[in-house]
Order: sequence, then structure tokens, then C-alpha cells
Amino acid sequence: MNRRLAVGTLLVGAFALSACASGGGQSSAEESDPNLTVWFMRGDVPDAAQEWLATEWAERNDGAELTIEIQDWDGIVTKLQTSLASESQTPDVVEFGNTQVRTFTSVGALSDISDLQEEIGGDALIPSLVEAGSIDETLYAAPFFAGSRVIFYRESMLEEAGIEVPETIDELGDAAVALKEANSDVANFEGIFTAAKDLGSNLGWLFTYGTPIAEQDGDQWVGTLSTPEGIEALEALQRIYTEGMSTAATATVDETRTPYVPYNEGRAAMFSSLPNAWDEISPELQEDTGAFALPGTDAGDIGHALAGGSNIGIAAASPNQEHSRELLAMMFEPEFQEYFATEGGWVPGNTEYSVPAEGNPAAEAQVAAVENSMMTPLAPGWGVIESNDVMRNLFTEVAQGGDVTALAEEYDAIITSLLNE
Amino acid sequence: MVLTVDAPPATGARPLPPRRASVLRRAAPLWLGLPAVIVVIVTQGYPLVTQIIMSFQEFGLAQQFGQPAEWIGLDNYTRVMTDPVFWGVMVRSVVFGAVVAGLTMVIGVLAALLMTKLPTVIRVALQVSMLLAWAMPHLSSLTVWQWLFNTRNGVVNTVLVALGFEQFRGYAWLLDPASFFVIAGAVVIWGSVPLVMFMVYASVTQVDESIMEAAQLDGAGPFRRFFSVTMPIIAPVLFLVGMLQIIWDLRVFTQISVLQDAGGVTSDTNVLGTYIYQIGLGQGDYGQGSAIAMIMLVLTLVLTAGYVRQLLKNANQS
Amino acid sequence: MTTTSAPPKTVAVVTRGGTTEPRRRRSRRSTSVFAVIGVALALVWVFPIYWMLNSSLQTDEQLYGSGLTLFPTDLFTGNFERVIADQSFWRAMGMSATVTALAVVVAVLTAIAAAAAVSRFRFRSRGAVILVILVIQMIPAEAMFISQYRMMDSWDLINSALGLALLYAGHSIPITIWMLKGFIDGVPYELEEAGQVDGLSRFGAFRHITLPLLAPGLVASSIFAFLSSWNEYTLALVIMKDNAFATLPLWLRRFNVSYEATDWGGIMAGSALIAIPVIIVFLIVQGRMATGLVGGAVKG
Repeated sequence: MNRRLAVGTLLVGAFALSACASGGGQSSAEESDPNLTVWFMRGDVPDAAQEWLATEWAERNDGAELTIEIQDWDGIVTKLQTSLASESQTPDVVEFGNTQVRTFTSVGALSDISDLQEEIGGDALIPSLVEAGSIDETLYAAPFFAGSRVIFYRESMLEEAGIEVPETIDELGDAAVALKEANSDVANFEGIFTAAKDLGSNLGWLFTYGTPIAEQDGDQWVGTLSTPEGIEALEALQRIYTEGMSTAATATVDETRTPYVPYNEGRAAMFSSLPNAWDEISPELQEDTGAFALPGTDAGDIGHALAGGSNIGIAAASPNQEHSRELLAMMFEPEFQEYFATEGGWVPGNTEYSVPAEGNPAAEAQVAAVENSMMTPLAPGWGVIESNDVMRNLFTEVAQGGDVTALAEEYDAIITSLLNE
Repeated sequence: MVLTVDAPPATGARPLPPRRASVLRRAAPLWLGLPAVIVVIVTQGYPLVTQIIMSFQEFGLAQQFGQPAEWIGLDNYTRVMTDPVFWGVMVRSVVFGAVVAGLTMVIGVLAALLMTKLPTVIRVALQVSMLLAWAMPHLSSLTVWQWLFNTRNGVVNTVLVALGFEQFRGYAWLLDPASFFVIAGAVVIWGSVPLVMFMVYASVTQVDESIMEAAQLDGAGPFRRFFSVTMPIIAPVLFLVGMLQIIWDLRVFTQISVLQDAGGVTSDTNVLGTYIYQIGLGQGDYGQGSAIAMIMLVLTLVLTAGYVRQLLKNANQS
Repeated sequence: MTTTSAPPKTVAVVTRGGTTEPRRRRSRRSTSVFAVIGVALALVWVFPIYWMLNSSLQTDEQLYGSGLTLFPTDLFTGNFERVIADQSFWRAMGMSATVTALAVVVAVLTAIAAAAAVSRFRFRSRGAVILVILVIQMIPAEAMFISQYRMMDSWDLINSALGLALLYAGHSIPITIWMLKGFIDGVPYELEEAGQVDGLSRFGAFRHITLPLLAPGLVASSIFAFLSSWNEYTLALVIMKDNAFATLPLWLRRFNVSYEATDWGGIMAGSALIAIPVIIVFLIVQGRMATGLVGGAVKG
């Protein structure tokens, strides 16, 4: 026997075999099965909520098993790209980070759940997350929960400086400068701690003054930092960095993750943070602490903080569509949604169920903040901007006292080129 | 797995093997190689074929989720080849790969030769530390390297400042592409020298002492002995490891990707591996990602053509 | 460097025992210079590992603080305790051990056979085989996950240790064949022929004469196969879909939570523990390697 032929036959055989095998598995048009698998992201859904869901599901479905798998953030997009496409492997109901969900809604990976929208909350669903989970008015992934930065402040310090609680974002800047001045005897004092590397906080200023960072113009994305609104926002930030703060430019990313540290040390009058920082504030200071949502440009308005959070959807490849819809609807019942507020310190996807966590003044402020929150541009290339730390670099240069107009133009060019790559 | 040799069985009465090769024996290489070939073909060959097919298709996330893939001929390839960004990435990859592979080989071979001269204790210590470097999970080794070069409180900056190099106070290594690649190179070399060292050392210990001694009696100096005695014997291993380094360093991915996340500017620091990932899995354009992978394959073949030809020539001679 | 030694023996003496130990006397100075370089090299390579250990023994305050802790003076063991008490760590350890052992056994066994074929036999398609092996090495792995996943899925090998092990084996077989081929080429075929003249079969000659001489090469290439499986992340991510099947590199990622600061203390302690089995395996094969070397009769 010709050896080369033998090897060739073997190869062809192997390919044919694989081809056959991959052709199979599509004829499984079975009935929807109540034994479902759900993927939640690590650290998001409180244990009590998971327990309630599993128990309640079994009760309502004759002991059917609900498997909850906790997924790690690292590599999740890669994992979803493979698993969601496989009928036999896909989870039925899946949580997505709100910056990642767009990758999957636009390609047919998720089932249309528009008809559930009214039942699970309708207008009470968090608007920014509805937008993140929809394509052209069709809802594919419902707002699951959200969180936004709020401003904590030390009541006695404001009183001593003779300052009212700020009602506009301009007044907030004034307050920071005045507080720093009033405490000039304290080393490294921060009128408000919102350092340049704290992306989640600083983006709120851009959104509130009216720049979405980048806008779609035809099929091109264009940076909007050098618009009048953008310049105004950056100038307001520069004033806070240079006149209202001490370590705006030098604080590291790790330090911005623990913004309560300078506050507890008595060298910050205000700081911007997610509400769960309340638990980190030293008990003797808690009585003296208040919180408010980032204010808007006009008195009484709420500003636009960055929306953080998750969406939840049903895998299109799941053979158990009916039961999955039932389960998703269950996640919007008050019992489950309220756990996000009481146990997780988040705003539930259906804002009607936001019951403030006990004693935390920030929880209520967060509800208003989340309802008005905005997301970074839903451009496919936004991840490139984030991984390049473009915005952090901009804020750092602003904090170092750079020329705002020149910087805005420079960074617009960077953003425009990266988004259209 | 490793056997000690025993003296050959004393059944000296067995007749010499027949001159005429039996059919079975002629087929022996096929049977011997078969298990390996099957595993490789199934796990690597089949995905490779799908990838080649994909590179001629419009294949993105939508296709992954069930849309039919459209044949677009060479479109993916022309899109890549006409993109100046790709050529920048390619030149960067080739230069980086060549420098890093070269340094890795030099350090690795010298370390292996050094090992033969070391007292046992130090030799085992060196082996163990190299092995640890090799064994450390990438997530933690890369994190540690980042910490070492941390702008604010990294060991490297601290030491340099202490030595009087004031310009390194608060120096941001990853922001400047040049120093980014210095660190990336250091991390890659640190991670790949152990393999080179272990392989070359294993090979050097194969060199027959007595030949060495004969050469020495003939008056050959250490360099001559190395090039005329050691070299020919370790050459196959050296060639192989050298080529693997070139191949691996050309497609380096993890180290660059993690350092980019830590603060590098992606557009200035992309190499072929990260570029493929960014286009393929990152932007969900598997078709174009596959096309770049194919171009990279051809590039690697061209760059190693000399060695490949040599190999094939040897294969047909020996 | 001068050496006096016994006169050379004939090259191919395939017997055990009776060989004379050549005595070497090196000048002390060059030996100590080499020793110093060796120690320096070891220090450079071990420093990042020291730093990992150092960090794993620090509290969060020290890790996130602005100072530099050069020595773990407090020896904070909380990170290690957390990892050791974590059941999922031990489960992942078991899974990693299973997958890696399977992958190494499959890769090394099939590769020895194939390397022997490529090195010792002449056959027409040999050039082609060599080329194929080489080309497979050149494909960037980042581009292949999707098709590899689909293949394993269609064969119901998702969440399967065997499936993942096969992928790992397929990945390391070509290199292992290459390495072993190099080592086999380094053993003169005349030795095997001599064995055959002494009455060994062709297989027997390979097994009793060449294989023992391959010991160092086998160790080096098994370590390669071992480590490339032990540390692999992305394939494991997509193939070992459920948490119950996570391998160690996957397990290590759980310390990274989106809305909290990353638990670097836990990661470093976990990494240190993950490296321990590697050292144990190495010390075992290291002993074997020494035996192999002594047993190899060609060595003086």
C-alpha cells in the first residue's frame, strides 16, 4: 500500500469525522426543561438572593434544579463567545457587565425579551441600562442592577466653613475650594477627594456639563471634549484639582479605590464613591456624614454620574426558552430585586424596589444618581480607550495644570482615531 | 519513564537480524509515528483547516451565533495587507522577536555551559530557580514584574534613585514604547531562558567525556573544543530551541497583553499576537483575525526558511 | 583551566561498571568565578519569585500602602490560610494534576515513538512529516480557540479532563518530538548497531541503549509538557466551562472582582502554593535524571 496514500486517507478520514460530528447536535428541538443553568458574575448577586431564587424555583417547578454558576470577570467575554454559541453548553440565563452586553446583543446571541419589558418593570427600569441592553427599541438584556458614585460630606466641616450643601455642580466646585481654604492648616487637605485617576467619578463631570465624550457622526465616531461643554467640564475639574485638592494628580489608582481613607484621617471634607463606602467610614464619623447625588448644572437637577452595573438576558441558543423567560421574570419580583438594595448596596434594575439600606444616607442618593446615570459611548472601540487609559491620562494632565483647550483638542484627536481604527 | 541501562541480555545466541527488511519493519516508522500524528492532526490540524477556511469568509460574532458565513475570497487578506497599522505591527514584532530570541539563546546557552562547571549545590540552586521562574503562573509573574517597575514605589525605580539616577524618580516605564519593550523583553527572556538552559544542558551532558579529553590531549583549547566537539553534538538541539524561540517570540501574546493592560499604549505597543487577539476575539472579526494568523504563518516560514531547508536536506540524507 | 585525566577510552563501550572516574582538578580561581556568576544568575531569576513570596506574606495595608516592604517582617499568614481553607483550591489542584498527568503521559509516550521513527528510520514522507510538525508550531494559538472549542463541543468533551489533556498533548507533541529527535540524533546510531550485533532486536537496542541516554532530554521535554499544561489559561477557560472543573490557572482569577480592589495577597499566596507540586515533580525527575546519567554507560 502506498504510504503517502495511507497517510492522506487517514487525514481525510479525521476531517470527515470531525465534520460529521460538528454537523450533529442540531436536531434537538426538545421541550423546554425546567432544570436551568444561570451565570452570575463574581461578587454581584448577594448570597441571600441566590438562595431565594434556587429555593423558590424548585418550589414552583416541582423540585426542578436551578444551577447557579459564578463566573470570573477575567476572560468572560472569550468564554461567552464560545459557550453562548453552543446549544448543548450554553447557560440559559446570563448576566453581562453593562459595558460588555453590547457585544452580544447585536449579533443574535440573546433572545428578544421586549414583550417581557412591561411585566418586569416598564418605565421603572434603569434607563441607561435599558439603552445598553437594547438595539433599535428591541430589548435583549434587561437592567439587572446598577451603582453610581455619590458624594459623601462631613456635615460639621461644611457648617464651620459656612457652606450650604451644594445644589449645582458649580456650587460643588466652589464648596471644594472654600473647604480647602478653610482647612489650609491641615496637611494635604482635600476639599473633595476625586483624584484624576478616579475614572468613575470624573466622568460624571463630563456627562453633567453635557459632553458624552464621543458622538457618532455617520459611521464615524468623533471626540466631543473640545466642545464648549467639554471645555467647561474640564475647566471645572481643573479648578477642583488645583484649588480644591492636594493630591489630585499624584494619587494612584489603588488610592482612588479607597477614597474613604483620607476622609477617615480627617483630611478630606467630601469624597466621591459608591455608596458601599459607608461601611468603611469610621463609626464616630458616620453621625457627622451626609451624602448627595452629583448635582446638575441647575439647582434641583441631578447630574449624570457614570452608570456601573449589569444586564441580564436569555441565551438564544438555549433550548429552554419558556422556562428561562419564567426565571428571568422571577428575578424582577420584589423579593429578589430588593436583595440588591438591602444586601448588595446597589440600585435594583427595577428602581421601584430600591429600599434604602438601613442608616446609609448614600443609598437614597444613589437611586437618584442611577436614574440619571450615563454610560461611556457605546462604540465598539471604547474598550481600546479604556485599556489605553486615555481618559485617566487626560485627567492627570488636567490636574497637572495643563492648558485645557489644547488638551481637549489633543485628546479628541486620540479618541477619534482610536474609535475609528 | 526514565530507565537505567542494564547490560544487554546475555542471550547472545540470537541470530543476526536478517538483511532483507520485512514488510512490517518497513512500515515501522508509520506505526510508530501514528499515535502522535493522530493526536496532533485531530487537536491542531482540524482547527487549522477551519481557520484557513474562515480566513476566506466574512466570519464574525454574528456567524459564530448562527448566521451563514459568506465567502469573500481574498478580501480579508487585502484589508490586512493594505492597512499601514498592520505593517507597523509586523515590523515591530520581527524586531522584537529577533532581539529577544537572540538574547534568550545567548544567555541560555552560556548558562547551560556554566552549569557544567558549577559545584553541585550551586548547580541545583540555579536549576531550581530557573525552574521556579518557568513554573510561576503567568498572572502572578507578570504582576510581580509590574510591581518591580511600578512608577511610584517599584523596586527598580527605588534602587535607581538610591544609586543617584534622579531621573528615574516617578519614571513611568510602560508609557514610553521604548521602555515598554525593554520591560516586555526582560519578562519574556526571564520566562524563556529556563527552557533553553535545560535543553542545552541536557544536550551538553550527552557529549562524551572521553572525546572531550581526547581533544584536550590533542591540544585543543576550550573554544576549539566547544566548536569542534560540543557544537556538532548539541547542534540539533540548539537549532531546534533557537527556532522555537524565534517562533514563540514572534507570536508573543500574554506578556505584551498584560503589560498593555497595566499602562502601555496599545496602538504603539501591539505585536502580531496581541493584534490578532484584538481583531479576532476582541472585535469579534474571526475572519480577519484568521487571515492575519495565516500571514503570520507565512512570515514565520519565510524567516525560518534557511533552517527548514537545512532540516529537510538532512532528513533526506541521513 | 587545565585538566589532567586518564587517557581516552574507546568511545562505544556498552557495559556497565568498570569505567574509571576521570579525576578533574580545576584551578580554584576559575571555579570560584563560575560559582559567583552562577549564584548571581540564580539570584536574578529567583528575585521575582522571592517578591511573590514576600507579597504573599503581607497584609492588605502593606500591599496597598505607599511604602515598600522589602522583607516580610510580620510573616502575615492570613493569605495562605485563606487559600488552604478554600475547598475549591484543592478541587482545582486535583483537576490540574489529572489533566497535566494525562497530557504529559500521552505527549511523551507518543512523542518518543514518533521521534524514534523520524530520527532512526528513513522513509519517503519524512520531510513532509517534519514540515507539518513545524508548521503547526507556527500557528498563533490565539486564533484557534474558537474552532478547538467547537470541535470539543461536538465530541462532548466540554468539562472533560481527557478532552483538555488531549488538546494540551496535541499542543506539546510537536515540540516534544523535536526535542527528542534532537537528543536521539545525538546518540550515534553505531551504538544501537553494536547492540544489534550483540543480539538485541532493533527495538531492544533502542530501548536498552538509546533510551537511557535520552534521560536528560526526556526530563527536559517532560518538564516542558508538564509546565505548558500546568499553566495554560485560555483553553482551560473555554473547555472547563463549569466551576467544578476549573484548573488552577482558572481558580487563580477568582481574586479579581470587578467592584473591589484585587486581592493580590490571595493571588500571590495561591501562586506560591501552585508552584509547590512543580518543585516536587522536578526533584523526583531530577533524581531520576542523575540515575539516568550514571546508568548511561557512555559517560565516564
